[in-house]
Amino acid sequence: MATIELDKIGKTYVSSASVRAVRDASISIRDGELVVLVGPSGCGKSTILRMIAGLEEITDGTLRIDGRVVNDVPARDRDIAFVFQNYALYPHLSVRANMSFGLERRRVHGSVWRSLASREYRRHRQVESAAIMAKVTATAETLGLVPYLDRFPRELSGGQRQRVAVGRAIAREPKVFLFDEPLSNLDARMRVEMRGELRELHRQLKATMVYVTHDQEEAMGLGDRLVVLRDGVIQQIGPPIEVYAKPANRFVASFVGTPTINLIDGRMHRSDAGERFVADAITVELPRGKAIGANPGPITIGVRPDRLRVGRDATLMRWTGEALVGRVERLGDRAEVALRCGPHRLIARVESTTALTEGERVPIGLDAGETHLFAGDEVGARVG
Amino acid sequence: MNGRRSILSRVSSHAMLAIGACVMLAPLVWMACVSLLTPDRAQAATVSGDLARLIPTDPQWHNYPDALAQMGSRRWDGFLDALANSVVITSLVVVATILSSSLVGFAFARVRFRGRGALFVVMLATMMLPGQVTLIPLFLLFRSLGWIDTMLPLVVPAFFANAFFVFMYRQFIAQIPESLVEAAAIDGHGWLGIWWNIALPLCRPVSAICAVFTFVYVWNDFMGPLVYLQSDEQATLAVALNSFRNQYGGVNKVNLLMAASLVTMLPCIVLFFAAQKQFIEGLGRGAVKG
Repeated sequence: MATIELDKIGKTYVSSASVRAVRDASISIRDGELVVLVGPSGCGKSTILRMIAGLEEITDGTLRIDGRVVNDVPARDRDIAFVFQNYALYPHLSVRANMSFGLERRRVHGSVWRSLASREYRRHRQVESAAIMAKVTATAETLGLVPYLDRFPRELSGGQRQRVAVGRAIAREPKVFLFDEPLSNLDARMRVEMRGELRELHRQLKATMVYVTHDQEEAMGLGDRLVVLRDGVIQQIGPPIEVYAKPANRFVASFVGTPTINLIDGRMHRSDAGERFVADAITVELPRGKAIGANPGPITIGVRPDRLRVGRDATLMRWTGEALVGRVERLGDRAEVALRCGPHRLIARVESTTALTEGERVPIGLDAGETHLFAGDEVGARVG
Repeated sequence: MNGRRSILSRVSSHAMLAIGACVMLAPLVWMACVSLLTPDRAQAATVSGDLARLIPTDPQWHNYPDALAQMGSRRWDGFLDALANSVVITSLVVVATILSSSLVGFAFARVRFRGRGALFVVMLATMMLPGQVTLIPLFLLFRSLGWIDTMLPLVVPAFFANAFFVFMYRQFIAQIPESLVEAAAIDGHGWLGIWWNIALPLCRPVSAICAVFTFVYVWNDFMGPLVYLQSDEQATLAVALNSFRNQYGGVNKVNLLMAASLVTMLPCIVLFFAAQKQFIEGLGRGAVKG
């Protein structure tokens, strides 16, 4: 296994108008860690992954794998395995041949001509072939692929193909595994199932893995650490719970978490009595020290939908107000409620059994200590 | 009303096709008939154009072995040598064309290098050059290399790719997903390995078309062997057939000439029936997608 270090990595596509796809990306990935690169489409996460793999040239910065600078090292010499979004299985080869393809290439005794000329060489080659087949079979057993070894990719389902792609990577025993949105072509149920299998795989192999996804739920469920990207710039790096509980800026707060966090623009007033957030129809007294990093003036308050109380629970909160109930989506064990409080459109997550009717006015409440404060400028950095 | 019109249009189009087929098949049928006639009946059918005398009421099947035995200056060996030469040259050229054209097509499709676009256009432009224009300079080149009266001038150029097939391979390989190429690169292959292990196997349809068209062209090629192969031992079937015509030609042994011609044509006829799909696909690829 290996460490990966990205030191101010950048990628610029030079054409009639230069496009900086990635800017100053610095990440240290520890040995055996599963790091997830997450962000919206076009944020540069796949570009970073491809630069680690050697499929894209690095324009700026230094990439090290296990301490060795690999900027100019070809992909085939980096000892990495890559699982593609569309599986990239060789259609003319069986599952067995797909999984052994990389191992065949790395034979010590790889010359067919020499094996014709030398019995000794032929014997070594046969021993190698047996070892390769044993490794492929063992990997297939781990992934439940033994019944499919002689089939071709066109005869497999999406989930089976994905397993073969993962199996091809595992059989190589590389230093680093790279996954480029491997589950995005699967249906929701299969995605959840494969996610669990990948987590288990990581636990068993203790391998260094870098995983790219645009699905923040998948990222939260898989990663030891998340790297949130936007427009080619890293917004935050941290464990999933930290990124969720202490988002670094407005973008991270709104990207991570389902449903999306409620963001209310207003102003912060500071006086001897304390700090106060003021917006239309909402005035919240902030706990002492909550807004210590903020200057009086424009500010944004963020409230997670599950922290916004509705109905009887709301009356227990430090701040209460009133809102008009809009759409109610009952999703089994929970419900998502659209609310209108003055000019603000909010989403709350409540128990599915909560009695709410569209059009009724209900009390809403929040605890200021459970809110997030962001600067009122374009960046929206966290201030409390 | 529509039904009647449909039957009428189907009958008329079938009639047109039947007439066309008869026109195209007529020479072949004439050759087959004449090849089974006695010399005097064959001569009469050729000179007088008397179709009634064309029907072989008493087929002379021995015309075939007689014709093949008389090809070349040595009995039977002339034909066998010519057959062997044709088989060897055609096989080598087919294999060389597939390997070289696919390799160059792969490079144009997948390898990014400066000037790729311009080089591709230059390569396409070479298709505009008729073979007759380059015949003399090539002859002088091969003569200076000492390759005249060997099969090298016919075989070696095939290892330098054919522009038309390079174009076909390039178009096909461009459709192979980039991720397959990248996966092979990560699995440890360089460009040559990716071409050999991934691109070439996936190009089987194009390779089949290339093989079929190259076979037909080379098997029937008369000009090249006539120019570069001077001795009887080196001759191909096309040249040997021409020599047979010059030697026995006229109308004296036209029955044997037709027998020998049919035997020479036979592999191409068999190939057409076996690979009809590739023929038609190949014509379509050349004409439509371009």
